[in-house]
Amino acid sequence: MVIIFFMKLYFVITVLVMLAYAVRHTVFTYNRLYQPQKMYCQDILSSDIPFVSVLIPMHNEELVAHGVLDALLRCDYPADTEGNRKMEIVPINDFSEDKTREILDTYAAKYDCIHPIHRYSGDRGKPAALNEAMKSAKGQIIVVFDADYIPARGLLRELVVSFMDPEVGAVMGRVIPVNTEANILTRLLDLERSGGYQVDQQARYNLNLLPQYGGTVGGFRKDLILATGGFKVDILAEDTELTYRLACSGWKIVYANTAECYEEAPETWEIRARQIRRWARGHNEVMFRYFGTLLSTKYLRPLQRIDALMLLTIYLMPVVLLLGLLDSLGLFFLGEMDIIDGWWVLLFIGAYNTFGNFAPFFEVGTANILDASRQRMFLLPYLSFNFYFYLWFITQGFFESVVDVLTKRKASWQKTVRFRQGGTGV
Amino acid sequence: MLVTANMKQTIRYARTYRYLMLSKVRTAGLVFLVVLPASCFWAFFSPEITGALAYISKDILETGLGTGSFTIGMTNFSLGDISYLLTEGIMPDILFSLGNFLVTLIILFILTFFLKIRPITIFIYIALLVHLCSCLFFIFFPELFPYTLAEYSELYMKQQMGIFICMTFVMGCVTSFLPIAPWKVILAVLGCGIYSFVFAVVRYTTFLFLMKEFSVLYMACMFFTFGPLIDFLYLVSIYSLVADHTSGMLAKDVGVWKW
Repeated sequence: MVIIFFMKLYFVITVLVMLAYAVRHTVFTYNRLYQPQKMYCQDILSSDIPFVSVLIPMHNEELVAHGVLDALLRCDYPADTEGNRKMEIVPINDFSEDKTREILDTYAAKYDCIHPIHRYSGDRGKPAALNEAMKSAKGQIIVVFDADYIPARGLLRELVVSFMDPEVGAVMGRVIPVNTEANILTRLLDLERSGGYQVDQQARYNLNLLPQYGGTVGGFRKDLILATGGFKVDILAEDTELTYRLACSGWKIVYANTAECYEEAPETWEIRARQIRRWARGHNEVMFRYFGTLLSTKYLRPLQRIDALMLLTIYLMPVVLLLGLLDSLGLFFLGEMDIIDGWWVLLFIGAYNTFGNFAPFFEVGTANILDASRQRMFLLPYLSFNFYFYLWFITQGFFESVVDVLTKRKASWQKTVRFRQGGTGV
Repeated sequence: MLVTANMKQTIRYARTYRYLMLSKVRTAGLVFLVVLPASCFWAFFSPEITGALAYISKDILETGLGTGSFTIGMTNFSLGDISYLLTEGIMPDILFSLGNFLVTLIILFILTFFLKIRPITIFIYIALLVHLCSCLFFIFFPELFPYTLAEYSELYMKQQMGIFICMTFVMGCVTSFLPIAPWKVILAVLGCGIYSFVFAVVRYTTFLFLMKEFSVLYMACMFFTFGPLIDFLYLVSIYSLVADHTSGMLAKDVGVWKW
């Protein structure tokens, strides 16, 4: 009887947690669609915009290296009084075995502002690569791009101008898949990204909550990171870690919705599965590290703390749900499924509303209305099946993070496979 | 100021920061006059609605299985009385359970090693795992299975009432907040309600048929796999139609946007 009581209690708690997420997303959607939007500093026209170092970690990126470098060279970032652009591009060749090294050297020979770093010793992975590059970077402001990104001409300025506010520690731009015509997966990812950035990130910024620094199409103050020991090389989600490190020490994170940048979304489900599993593993590692700090920090107001907590545990929710499913399976075979007079349906409604696709269907729909997208709206029902997909692979990532924490295992970096066939893809 | 034909009269911010003005009166009116009454409709008329559902299913099932196989029972529910079909299902014997267990294992093996990862394969994978649990239960503890088909039928009907109410409420809320004419919201809610009822009849009839003609071994799989999440498919489908229409409408009338 006691076991059944706790099984039912877990069930009810799961429903309540899911409903809490549903409320959160409903508030975000309403705020984004019907409230005046908070803009960042994009209207500042300053002649004193700082020197910026653009860091691009690369591991076997011969397919996409040209694209990002060409796009950055086209950027209209301001020049100093002597006519030199106030930027340097630092591609970081991280143990590449393909032609990345040759490509970078060719560009460096041709353009003064490109200063490649070749790494073939020490720790592998993005955090270690960024740490090494920051030591030699000339700029106080660091902007990071993944190698498959294609920044627009004005993007760098749009990001860096945020740092005119001395309280800003990091800035994050909007990510838009460029290969949406490839297949149904890339179109679905386009839908998800739209909900995640156009509504979720912007609403969090509007409401003075916690926009997330995403590790690419974003920037941060170099000294701030170096003074706190650089990026942790044993964490897969260095972006999430940075978000919470800054938030817990009183720095602002800006979300720049106008700073749009194109990325190459995964084109196969296998790659997407690996990616989401890695994100879940990294995010949950950060959750284990920052849960206590987040509760005790003095820099967050109650609502900010609650939202930051919900964001921190978002990759835990699929695990909670999967356990909820197992719990309900147990209750079913015990003949105790008649919870709250058959209202157990709430679990699944809550589940779908909250975690079906990181953003519930109405949030994604709202984002597409704001973006004036039409045909892709009809793909919304397909996202239902992604729910199971994420449930499965995020749970795997969670358990990997548990093993990482318990055994002090060091996670090895996994590169996302690229699909581009030459050119910039735009 | 010189204005030529090619110059814009007004330079607006792009899609990034635009938003709409919400008519609070209209939205509150829709929620209180349409959404809540429509949701309550299911509860107020639960005896009639479940009665109709049970009657239609009975009619369909008896066409194939012969008259007298089903009777209609009633029970209390927190929102009112509900009707459901009473009948007896087939309990699986050990051979049937073992056979199902082996077939499920083989399919799981094929899914794991021969099929590519897709959301639909994960969906099938989870459904098969639930069925595997059911097979194991009937292999080792068949006498402990807690439901007769009549009890399952009752549980289904209670769950169905929850689905009717929640689907109507969710559909009403998500469309009421879109800047569309009230009759379109009513149409979406009505469409969702009608589809929900028709789908409920089809699902209830299919479930009872399978468990009466084949085995209650499939009860868990059907309950967990083809339950409320499947209902969300049509809810989101109808919503996507409305949202697509809204997007197109707003594209033609940029004057509604605020920056």
